[in-house]
Parts: sequence; structure tokens; C-alpha cells
Amino acid sequence: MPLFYQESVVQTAFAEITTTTSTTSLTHVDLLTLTITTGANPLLIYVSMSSENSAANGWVEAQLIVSGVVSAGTAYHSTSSGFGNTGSIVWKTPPLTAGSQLIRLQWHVGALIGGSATITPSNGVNHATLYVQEVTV
Amino acid sequence: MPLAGSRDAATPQVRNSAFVEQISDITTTSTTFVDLGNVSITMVTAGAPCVCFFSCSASNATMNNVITSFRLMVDGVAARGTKFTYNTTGGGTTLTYRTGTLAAGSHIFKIQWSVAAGTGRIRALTQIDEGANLLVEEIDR
Repeated sequence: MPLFYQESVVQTAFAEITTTTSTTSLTHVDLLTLTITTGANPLLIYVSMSSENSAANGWVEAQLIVSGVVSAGTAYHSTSSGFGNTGSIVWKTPPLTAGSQLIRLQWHVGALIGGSATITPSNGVNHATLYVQEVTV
Repeated sequence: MPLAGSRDAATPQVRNSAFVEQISDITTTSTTFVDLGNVSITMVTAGAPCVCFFSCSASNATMNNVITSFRLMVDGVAARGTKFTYNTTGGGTTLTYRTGTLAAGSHIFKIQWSVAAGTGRIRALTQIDEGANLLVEEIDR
């Protein structure tokens, strides 16, 4: 009896910061957005980012929102002015309702210290990327 | 109807993948980027994008509060980088990156690193919580 190959990756999508980007916001603002039209499948989502903060002990908080649902977050701090640090998220959604999905990565600096967080992607200094796989399993 | 094991050509697939990990303890005092040990992959691709996943945990043998930087090189060109600040107890970082469509042929993916001061170390052999690895997947699109 023939068995049929079960596809696991249906499609992929990718977004990244390509120009120097900063925030002084104390509340979440969009950093990266990505729209993908899917079947009734889960998404595997990989977030990777690093930035520098102008304030010693300032920190960054980031959150991942999938079709309006706050799904996961990460945070990191810079021990000294201008020092960098890094955060990442690996996330799998439950099967989604088929249709257009809006995936947002938001960020802000910590309210207690403030400062300005900056991502400088040129010449391999730091980065923010959002990689999405629609999968069937 | 497709036969067992056949694939829909329109469906994106992982065509090829390669993985490498640092296999020995290494250090650097370089303040400019140098190759990170053996973390380098040469992959012959069919002309498609590649997704790169890098993760690393390191420490500084001599100083606290030191920036260490890493960057992904694709065919000799800096793609994206990441950095973190750590001390003698260590820290970690990741980098996920998707290239544009690469020409069919041989491509080199490597990681380079540098420290702002002190002696950066990755004790991949003697410390289970330190290491560096790179996964590259060639995907249809």
C-alpha cells in the first residue's frame, strides 16, 4: 500500500533590520513585522536580536505577537553605556486558523533606566531577524 | 498521485544542511575579527537561499564586563553580527540569518569573533556549558 510523503515545511518567510534602528520608547513598539498566508498549520518562529544601550544597566524587552496574541518574550541588559547584549526566542504556535497571519516583534527600553537602544546591522555589528516556517507537524 | 517518498516540486524543502561545532577549547585576545576555531562550513548549493543558525556560549578568562562580538561571513562578506557582554562566568548569544538566493556552486559560511579586552574563551571541550555551533540549511525559497 503506497504511503505519501508528509511535507513538514510548507513555506518560509524572513524579515530583518537592514538599517540602523533605535528606540527610546518605554512601551512596546514594532521592530519587525511579517505577514504570511497560511493553511491551518502551526508556525515555527525564530527571533534573534542584539543591540546596544546608551545607558549603563539599561535594558531591552521584546515580545513576539502572532495574529494579535502575545506569545513569547525576551529581555537583556547592557552593563555599561554603549555595551551590547542579545536575546532570542524559539516559538511554536498551535495550528492557526487558515488565512493571513501578522507576526510582529516589538521592543522597548526598560522604564527604570531608559536610554536609547540601537541596532546597527551594517558590517556585522548587531542584528534583529525574524524567521518563520509554516509546518504541518 | 505521488508515489511513496515523492515530493510536490512546488513545495519548499530543505535541500541540504550542514552542521559544525567547535571541538576544542579556544581563546582569543584579538580586538579585530578573526576566525572562530573550526566553525566554518563549505556547502555546494544548487542556487537557493540558505538559513544560518549560530549559537554560542563563552566567557572571559581575565576580565569582567567585556563585549565580545561575533559575525557571520558568507563568501567573505560580513552578513550580520551579534555581541554580548560577559564576565568570567560567561554568557551566550545567537544569530539567525537568511541569505538571498546564492548562485549555484560552493559557498563558505564561517563565524568570526573578537573581544574588546581580555581573553575571550570558548571551552568547548572541557566545559559543557560553553560552545559554538553553526547550522546551515539550503532551502528552496
